[in-house]
Amino acid sequence: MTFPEIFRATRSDFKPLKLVLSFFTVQLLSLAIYSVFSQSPGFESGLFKTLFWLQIIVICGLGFQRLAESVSKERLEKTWDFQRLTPLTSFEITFGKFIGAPLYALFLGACFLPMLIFLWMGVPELRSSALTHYELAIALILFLYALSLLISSYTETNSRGAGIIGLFFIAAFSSSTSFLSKLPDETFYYGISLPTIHFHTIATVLFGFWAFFGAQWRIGKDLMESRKIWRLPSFLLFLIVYILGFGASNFYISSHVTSTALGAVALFSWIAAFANDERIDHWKIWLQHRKGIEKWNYTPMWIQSVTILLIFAVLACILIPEYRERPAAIIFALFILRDMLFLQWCRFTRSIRPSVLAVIYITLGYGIPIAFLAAAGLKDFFFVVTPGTEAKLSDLPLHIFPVILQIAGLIWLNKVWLDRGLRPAAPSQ
Amino acid sequence: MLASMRETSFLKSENVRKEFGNLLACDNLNFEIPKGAVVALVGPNGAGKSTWMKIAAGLLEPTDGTVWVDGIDVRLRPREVHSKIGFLPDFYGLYSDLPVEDYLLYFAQAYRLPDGVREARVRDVLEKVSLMDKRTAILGTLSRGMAQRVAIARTLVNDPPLLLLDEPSAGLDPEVRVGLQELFKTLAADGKTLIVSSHILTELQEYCSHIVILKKGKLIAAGSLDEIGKLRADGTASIQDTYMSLMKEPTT
Repeated sequence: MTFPEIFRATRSDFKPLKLVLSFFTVQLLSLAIYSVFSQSPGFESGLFKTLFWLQIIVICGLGFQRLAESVSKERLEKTWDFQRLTPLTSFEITFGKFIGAPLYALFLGACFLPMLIFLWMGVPELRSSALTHYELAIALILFLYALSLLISSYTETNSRGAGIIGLFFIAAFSSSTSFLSKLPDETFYYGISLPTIHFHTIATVLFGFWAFFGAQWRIGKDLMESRKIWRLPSFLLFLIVYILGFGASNFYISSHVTSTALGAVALFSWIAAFANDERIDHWKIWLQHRKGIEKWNYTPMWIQSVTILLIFAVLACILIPEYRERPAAIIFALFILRDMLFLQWCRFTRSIRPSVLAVIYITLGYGIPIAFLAAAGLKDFFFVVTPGTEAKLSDLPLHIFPVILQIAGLIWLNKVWLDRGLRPAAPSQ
Repeated sequence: MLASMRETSFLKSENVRKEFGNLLACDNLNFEIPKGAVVALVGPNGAGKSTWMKIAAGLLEPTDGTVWVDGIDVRLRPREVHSKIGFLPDFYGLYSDLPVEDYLLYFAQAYRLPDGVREARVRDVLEKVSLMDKRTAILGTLSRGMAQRVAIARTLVNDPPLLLLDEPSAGLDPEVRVGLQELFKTLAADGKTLIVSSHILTELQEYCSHIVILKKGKLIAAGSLDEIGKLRADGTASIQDTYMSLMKEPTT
């Protein structure tokens, strides 16, 4: 394996003068902060926290910005095609960017270490909390770096804005550390007692791996690598298994976590569907020109994710006692299917911005009828336009009928456009 | 279609079809290119030249059909094909903050050239494109002609047997264009197969042995210059004359 991206990062960022100046600037800053804090007794803990946060801000802020534009900027500046033309695999490019893009940010962060290590050695009571902070920080940085790369891999234009999202995440990190400090030392997961901090660290790193795989999948698509259909369904299954663990013990899974898992799978179905702009050309290649395993791998993303959602909803209704009486899961999954069909219809109709249009119409599709029914005092008919969470098993035919009708209508509309789109194209005039 | 190429083919375009929505950019393009040929790929704007080149380079997925390079299907095994081709698209796309030499070393590594070979190979291509004295210059500071030469050096860094060059001399001054022609002649003499797309037909005449003519996504003619010239009523082998007379015929 070879990672020329790391070579490029070192050649463009690691100029000797720049490195020396960066190092001494950080040391001067550290000393200046030290001199401010050293006026008061017992200052070490406050100084350590300040320097730690500065280090995280540098690593996150600059690192996110570099990663967020690592692929999108190449697309914008038309250098991406030349990487695609090399024999590099998607893993080599993705990993190279994951390490190479934030390398200078990591160097700047490392420049804070001399003072931090000095404080850590000198103040024994800092040692345990510092290690916990670093454990969480490293896990979150890995996750957020992978997420930035994922966003960049899906962005066609420059995405410097993701750097701002990074700063937002620093705030989230700050609150999560204080949140975790209030949690009990142990977390019950599938009925097993696990140390809370380590559990969340491992979970965060695992989600980071999935974000990395997502970026690799998208880059692999650009490289025309063979698509692998198992990746999105595997992630959704992981998500279900991960969430269910919080409410499962002794072969019992609570309906509350099942609802959360359903919601999470639906959310990721939406994200996957909106991120993968599969228009008529994709469908034409999928339906008319691919055979065997290639056809299977070409299945549009929303079909993959909604299939998983529907299977999960049916299983929940069979296996979870509360859902047996209240088949809201199936109705909910059918509404998501309706939304995805609407999104596909927007894409078939070649709207200028089909995804934006679909979001607006789907929002209005829920909002306007609800407002109308509420104004008319017909709240009992909300189930026609929204998933009826309170529906009982006996109400199933009544509740399922409106959404099935909407799905059938959208399938028909999609079919009209699909038949039209599948006709052979005409030469340009 | 006047003829298809009969020599041992190095590249084969097999039923290549590319649709963009309702627009047909390439309409079942079938032709073969022999090893060592220097091919002029010509046609008016919108003929499908750049689209076909991107498909052949493994950058664009065809709606149907495929291109075979040295017996490898570019649609199914694009990674393997990439090590056999050098593609110069109609834009430069250089990393403006890198020096020329580092830029080429980056690609030498990306093409998996062994550690000890990379630097020698980069020096070799820099000499070939007459940029040895500019090897430490930052890419962002180079003139258009020099940037184009760096881009050509990049296509040569893995020593590919096939070069796809899309409008290589567009926007360059006459002196640089003459220099490029000489370079292409040298590469052809080295036994490389070249496919050059250009609107400057008189220049193509200088170094091309074969011609592929496209119009509105369809193949109009493909063959050696002599072959196509002999088939014309006037017997001419001139690229410009052949092109102009074929363009007057209605596309079927």
